[in-house]
Amino acid sequence: MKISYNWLQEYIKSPLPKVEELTNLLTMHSFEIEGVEDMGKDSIIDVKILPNRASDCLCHYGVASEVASVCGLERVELLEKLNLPKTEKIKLSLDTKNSNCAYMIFIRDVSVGVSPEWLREKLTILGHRSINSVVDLTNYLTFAFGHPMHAFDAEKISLDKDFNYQMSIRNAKTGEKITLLNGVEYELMEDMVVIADGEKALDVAGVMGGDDSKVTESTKNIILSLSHFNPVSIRKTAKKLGIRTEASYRFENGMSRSLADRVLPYLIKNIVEITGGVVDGVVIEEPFKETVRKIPVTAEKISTVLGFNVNEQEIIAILAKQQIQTEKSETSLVVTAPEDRLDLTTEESIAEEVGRLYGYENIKPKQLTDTVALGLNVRFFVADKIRNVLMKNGFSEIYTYAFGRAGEVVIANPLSGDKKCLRTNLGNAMGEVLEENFKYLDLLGIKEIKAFEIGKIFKNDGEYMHLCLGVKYPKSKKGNVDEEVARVINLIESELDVSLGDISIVGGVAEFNLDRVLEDITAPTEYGNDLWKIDTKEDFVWKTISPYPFAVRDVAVFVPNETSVKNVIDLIQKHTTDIVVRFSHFDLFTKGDKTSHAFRLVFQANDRTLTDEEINSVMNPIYKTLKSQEGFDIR
Amino acid sequence: MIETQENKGHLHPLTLTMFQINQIFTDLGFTIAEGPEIETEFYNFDSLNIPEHHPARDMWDTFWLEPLNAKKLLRTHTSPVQVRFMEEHKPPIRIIAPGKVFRHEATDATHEAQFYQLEGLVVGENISLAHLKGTLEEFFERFFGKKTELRLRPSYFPFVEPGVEIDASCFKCGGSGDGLKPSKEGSDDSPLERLGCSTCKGTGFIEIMGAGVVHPMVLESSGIDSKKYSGFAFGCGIDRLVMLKYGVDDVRLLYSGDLRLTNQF
Repeated sequence: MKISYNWLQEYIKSPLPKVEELTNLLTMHSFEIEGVEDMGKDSIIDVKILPNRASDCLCHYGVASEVASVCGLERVELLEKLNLPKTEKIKLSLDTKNSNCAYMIFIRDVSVGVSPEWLREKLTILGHRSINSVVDLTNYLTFAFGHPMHAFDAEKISLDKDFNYQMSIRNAKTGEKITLLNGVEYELMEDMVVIADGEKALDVAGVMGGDDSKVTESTKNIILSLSHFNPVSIRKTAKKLGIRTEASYRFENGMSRSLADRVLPYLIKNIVEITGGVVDGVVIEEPFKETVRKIPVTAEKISTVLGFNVNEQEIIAILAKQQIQTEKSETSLVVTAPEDRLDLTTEESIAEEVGRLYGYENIKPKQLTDTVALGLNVRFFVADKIRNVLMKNGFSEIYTYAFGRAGEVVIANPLSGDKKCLRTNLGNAMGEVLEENFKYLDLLGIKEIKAFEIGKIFKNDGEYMHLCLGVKYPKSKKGNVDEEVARVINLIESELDVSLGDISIVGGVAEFNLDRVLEDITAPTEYGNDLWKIDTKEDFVWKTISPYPFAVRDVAVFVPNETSVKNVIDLIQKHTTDIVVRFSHFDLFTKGDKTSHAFRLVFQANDRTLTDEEINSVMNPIYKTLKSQEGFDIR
Repeated sequence: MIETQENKGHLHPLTLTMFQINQIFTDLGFTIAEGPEIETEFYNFDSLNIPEHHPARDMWDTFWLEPLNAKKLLRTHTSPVQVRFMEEHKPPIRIIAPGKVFRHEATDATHEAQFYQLEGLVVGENISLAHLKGTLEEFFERFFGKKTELRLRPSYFPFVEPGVEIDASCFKCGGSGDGLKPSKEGSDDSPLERLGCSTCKGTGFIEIMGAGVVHPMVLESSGIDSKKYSGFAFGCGIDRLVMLKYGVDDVRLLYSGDLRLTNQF
């Protein structure tokens, strides 16, 4: 909810604290602040109103009232409740159970035009465009007091035989069509609610008005609707039609009818002042009254929930800041929830109110004291034991996506075509991972790829924890990949003391169901000291993975047998710069009185593709230095 | 700088982080619980006080599974494990549930459609927000290896009341908000380098998890007497902990199968 700082001031008697102090207080006591935009003479504060506070704080007055509580400031008194005369010009009927309160006000002789500057500014500062004085006023009051309303051009509404406007709130007829203010025609369904005249739907209730009956500069008489609708019905309608509006957002969260009484005097005052209209009167249909919510609470329970002691006097005083009335009864306190605070229903909700206003910083941390029997999770035990065995045997762990192009379990709303199912195996991803990582052998400084993944796979009959192993050797490496996989499977069997049975190994990849192992394993009595032991590298520094290609250069040099390898390394390292990301000694053999050392240098930069010149500017001095040493001979 | 061929493999940073989480919470007397990744609508939402058509459902973008009338989904949080565990066990309860969760959202460097979450639940007599604060301060001190102060801010999750967001004092700058790292070479005159600690963006605190006192409706729907027992629960993104602790700059790397990630650890 975008909130104008200056607008808040209109509802507070004394000057507000500075924006930063105000947002800090709101952050610690009320709401998350998602951002503040400096607009020069005003600031727009983006306040994150979650569903629990939607009923009172999706508007400037609601947030101002919260500001008054947390800053200890006095609120400006609101205009008194207004009782309008009854109009005979409107016949109103509520013909759906999805609305139980409607006010329809008839106003004659309006002159609709460009809004006064203050009104246009109220909308533009929040990022909305000005349409005309009547529409702007209804939008402004929605942002001011949180009650959406709609204005109809009375001349577009059908009359009954007595020449009265025939208004009703009813369910739509299946197939009934209406073009809304966004210019799009919608086909309605029976579970949607409309405001209608005797002939047709005028407005999709609580969502958006119809184009036909919209107020324009030629409008002479208007009917204003301040109505209430079932939140679930509005939410379903908005979803089905695919339109979310400021109105539907507020209605779907539930709204107190008291908001209609709060906004009405402002609506009438402004409409008369701005349009010169004459108020004919109102018709109200309100078959059920809202009930007053009384919540019994005890200081003991509230203290227990919060973890610090608050007494009755403190509770009464804190709640009074929020204009919440509390009375003492013989055994407890009785809190009367303000009508617009639909979130206050339970003792815990009152505890929250007390806790956040008092300040959670007052909570002193406590340790858990009672002892609870410790259960041992065998699946974690087995999986983590296997992880350690594999890691010690040169396997690196990967995590891949649970989504796939094909599978048995289908996602109804996939993110994309290649993620429309859940994986049925880990092997497919492993194959790709082996291929992909194979390109980076030199960059990684390894001679083969050995990887594993432990994760869930999904079949029609359930989800299973699988382990997948994969090995890929370069052509130059001797040995058989399947044998390496078989070797570590044996190690897993002996570590867990189970037999895994026949596991097929194809092309260096094997996969099996770990849940099966759980049935055979002797249940451990403790996790052991080594299971979750990790080598903590205090000085670990993450190196961003460069998107640019790397290049490899080898240098091999014969040196006299008595020359130490360290000596050779030092000579080379004098010339390496930060584009050398890896430097390894990969071969050594002796021939007569000379020893050959081979070194590999891997070059890469984080911000560019390296040129041959850049690489040569490192390699050439290396060659030159090595050549110049007595008895050295570059191969 | 010279390297030789290594024989050891590497564990994934998510695993390393979960190892550490498991060790600390086991030491604190927590049992590791788990639940299915394919959940029912009931356990993922209704049992957690998030009924159908409640606007709070918008807080969790959900992958639904075919056929829709089976009302199955990919769990959007590990909170269903709370309910499943409470149905099977009597208080006192003290569990963590690390596991994979899914969100139907576009991915970028800080958002993924799948990630890991750490759930925690304690139920007993007179369990309060003070126990929540004490337990989590202990955890984060051990996890970050640094004295940690927690800050609770009001928030809302339908399955807790009161509901809070928890910020931890920054383990990098110790809560001062000051940048510790010297400016990069050659950029001494860049003002950006001196703005403050890069981990907490100079605020001294890191947003770290949602938590609260278990809502009585959740206890009751799991068969626990909410008059006698109370509890606290928390939920924290493990991927986020990985990124914070190790400085990994793109969450998508964690699921890329890229050994240029794993082999750094």
